[in-house]
Amino acid sequence: MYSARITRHNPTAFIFLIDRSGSMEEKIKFGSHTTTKAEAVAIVTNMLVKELINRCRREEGIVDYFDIAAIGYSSGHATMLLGGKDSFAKPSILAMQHCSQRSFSRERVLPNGHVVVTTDELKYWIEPKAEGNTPMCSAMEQALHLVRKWCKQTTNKASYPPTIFNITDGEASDGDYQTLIRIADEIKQQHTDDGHTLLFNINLSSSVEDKPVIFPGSKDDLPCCRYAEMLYEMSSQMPEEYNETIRHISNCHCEPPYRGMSFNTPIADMIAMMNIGSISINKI
Amino acid sequence: MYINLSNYMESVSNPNGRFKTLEGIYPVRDCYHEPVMTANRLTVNFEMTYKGEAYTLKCLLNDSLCIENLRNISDYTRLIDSPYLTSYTYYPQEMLVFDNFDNPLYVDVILQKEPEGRKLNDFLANCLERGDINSITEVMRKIGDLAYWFTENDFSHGRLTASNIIITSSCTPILINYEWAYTTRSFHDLISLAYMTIILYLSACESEFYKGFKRNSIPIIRELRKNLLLLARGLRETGPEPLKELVLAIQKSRFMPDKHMCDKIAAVAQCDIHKSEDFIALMQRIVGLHRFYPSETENTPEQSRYTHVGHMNDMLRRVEDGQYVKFVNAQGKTIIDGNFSDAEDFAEGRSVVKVDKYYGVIDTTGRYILSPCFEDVEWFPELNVIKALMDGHYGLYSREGEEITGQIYTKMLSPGDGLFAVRKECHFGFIRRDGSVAIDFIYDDAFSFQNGKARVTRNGSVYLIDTAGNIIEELRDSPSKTYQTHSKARTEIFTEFDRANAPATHP
Repeated sequence: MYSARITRHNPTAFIFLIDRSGSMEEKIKFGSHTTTKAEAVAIVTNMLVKELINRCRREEGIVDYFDIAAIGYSSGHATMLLGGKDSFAKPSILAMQHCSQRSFSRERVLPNGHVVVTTDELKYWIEPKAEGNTPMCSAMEQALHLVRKWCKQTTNKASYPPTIFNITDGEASDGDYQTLIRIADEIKQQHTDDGHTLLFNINLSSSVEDKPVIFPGSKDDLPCCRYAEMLYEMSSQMPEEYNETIRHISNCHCEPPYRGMSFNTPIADMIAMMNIGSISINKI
Repeated sequence: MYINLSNYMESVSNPNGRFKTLEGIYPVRDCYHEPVMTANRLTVNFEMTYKGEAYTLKCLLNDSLCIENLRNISDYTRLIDSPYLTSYTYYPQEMLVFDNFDNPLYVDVILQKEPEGRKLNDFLANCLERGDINSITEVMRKIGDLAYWFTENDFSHGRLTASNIIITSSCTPILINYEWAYTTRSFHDLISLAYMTIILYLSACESEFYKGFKRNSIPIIRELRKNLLLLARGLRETGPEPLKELVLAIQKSRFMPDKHMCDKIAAVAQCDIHKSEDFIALMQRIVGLHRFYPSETENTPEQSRYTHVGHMNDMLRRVEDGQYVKFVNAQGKTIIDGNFSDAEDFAEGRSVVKVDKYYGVIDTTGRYILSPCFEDVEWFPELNVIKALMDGHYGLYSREGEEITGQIYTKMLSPGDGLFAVRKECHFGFIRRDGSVAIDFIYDDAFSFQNGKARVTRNGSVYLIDTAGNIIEELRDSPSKTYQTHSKARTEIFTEFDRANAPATHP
C-alpha cells in the first residue's frame, strides 16, 4: 500500500482546497515578514505547484507525472482555480500557462553570520483572494466529484492514490459538521489499488499565542474544541509509510497512527505538512 | 533534513556565498530568469557556467544513491585518461542549502563537464536532414571502438541511452551522466551499443526508417527491441550478413551479453550501406507494422487529433477531442460517438456518460442502458449495480438497467463490504445490491462500511457495528452529535434489552 511508483502512465493526483473567505485577510507572520493569510497560502501553494512541475522536467520536456487541481471557496461558491470545469491540470500545460510572476524575497543567515536576501521568481497560478463567506461543503463536494472520477479511470487503477489538502482558517458557512464529516468520509472512501485517498485538513492560526497541534495521534491531543474534533474526524489516518517523517514534525509526542490534520497552524508548519503530504513525489 | 528541488533551486539561483570551493559558478537562465534544469529519479541537474565553460551541477534527490559509488566514479574519471569519459567530480558538503524549516546545511554535489557536441539523437536527426551519411558511418565506427573499450576497462555506465552520449565534431562518442555507473567490468552496455548501431545503420540505409518511429528522435531502444524478432525474421531473406549476426547475438545474449558482441558491433560499422529493394521494404514493413499495432502503452497514430487518449478497456478506448468524448477501437475507428460531454472508461461492459448536464449508462455498442436523464450516476462493476440520482432521490439499477429499488432514498453512500448506507425519510439503514434490507432503518446517521465496520449514530450515541448490525463498540462523543437536526434528549439507551427484543437485522 502507498508504494506505487509514479510514472507517466500511472500518475498521481493532488487537489488543493483553498479558503478564500474574508477572514483570510488577517495578518500572519511568514518568515521575517507579515502578510495576509491569503497571500501566505497563495505563496506556499504556488511553490508546491512549482515543485510538482519541476519534478516533471526531463530531457525530452515536461512529463505529466501528476494531475493537479485547485479549488478556491468563498462568497457562496467553490471555483476551480487550476484545471477545467471538472478536470485536472497537467504540469506540461501549467508550465506554459501565462500568469503573473512575482519576486519572492527571503532573508537568509549564512554560517558566517552574514544576512543575505535571496530573491526567487514565483509564478502565481493561484492568486490570493479574501472575501465573502466559507462554502467549504461546496468545495469538498467538488473535490469528491473530481477524485471519484479520477479513481474510476482505469488508467489510474494502479496509481498512487490522490492527496487532498484543505487549507482553511475557519468554519464552513454552508453546512454543519455532520455534513462535512460525511463528505470527507466519501472522499476518503475513494481509492485505487494502492490505497485510499489521503485528506489533510490544515487550520491556520490567527495568533502566535494559539498552541498548534500537528499530526495528532488521538483526540486527546486536541484542545477542547468541537471544530478541532471535526477536523480530526474529517482527516485521513496516515499510512505507516509516513510515520517516520511525521515523527520529526509532530508536536504531539504520541505514537502512530497519526491523523493528517493540524490546528492553529503557523505557516512554517503548514509548509512542513504539505511537504510531508506530497512525499509521494519521491516515488517518481 | 527535508530538502526538495525548490530548495536547491534557491541556492543555485543565488550562488553568491553558497559554494565552498566552486567560487564564481553561476547558472544558465531561461527566458523567465529561472535556472535551466532537468530532473530524474536520482538528481536534479542545473546547467551552469564555471570558469567560462559549460557544466552540469547535479544535486542528489534520492537517498538510495550510493555515495561511495559516486565517489569511486569521480576518482576513476579523474585517474583514467579516456576519450570517452568526461570530467565528473564529486564535491562533498559543497553547496549551502536552506531546507524547508530554514535550517542551513551543506550538501554534496557533482560537477560534470559538458562536452561540446550534440546528443546522439540530435546528431542523427541533423545528419539525416543534411544527407550526411559519412558522419553517421564514422560515428558507427567509433561506437565500435567504444564497445572494445568497455571490454578492456573497469567501467560500466549502467544507463546507456542516446541521451547519455554526446557526439563531438570529430564524431567521437562521449558518455555523460554516471549516476548509475559502477567501476567494474560488465558487458551490459554492449547490448545498448548494439541497438544503437543497428538504429544508426538502418537510418543510414533508409532515412524514412528513422522518421517512421513515432518520436522524432532516435527511437528508444525498447521500441527496436519490440520489433527485433520481426527484423531477425526479415534478415533471413535479405540484408547484410554482419547485421544478421548482430541481431542474432542480441537475441542470444538475453541478460548475459558476451564480450565478443563488440566484434559484431564493429563488423556492422564496417559494413557498406545496403540499399536493396527487399531490405528497404523490410524496414518499411517494420515501421508500418509498428504503426499498425501500437502497444498499450504507446499512442495510436490517431492521437495527434485528440486532447486525451485513454487506455483500452473492453476493446474500446476513450478519446477526447477537446469538446466531446467518444470511443474508438484498436485501429482508431470510431465505434461510439454520442456527443458525450464526458464519459468514464468502460468497465465490465458499461460506461457512465454525460450528455449536456445529465448522466446515463451505455453498453459497448453505444446502446443506452440508462437514458441520460439522471443528475448523477455511478457504476459499480464489482457489484454489478448502478446507483442513480434523480430529483434528489437515489435508486439502484441492475447492469441491464432494470430498476431494483426505485428512486426512494434521500441519501446513498458509496458501498462498503457489499452494503450501501442509505437514508429513507429520516433514518439510515443498509441495503444489499439486490435492494433487500440488510440492517434496518433505525439510525440517525451512518457511514459506509469499511473492513467490516461502520459508524452509526442512534439517539445521540455513536457506535461501530458489524455487517450483521451488531454493536462492536460504543465510541466517544462525536462533534456531529451536537449539530444533529433532531435534538432528542438522551433518554433512549441502546441496550441489551433492545437487542434482545429487536428483529434479526437490528442490533
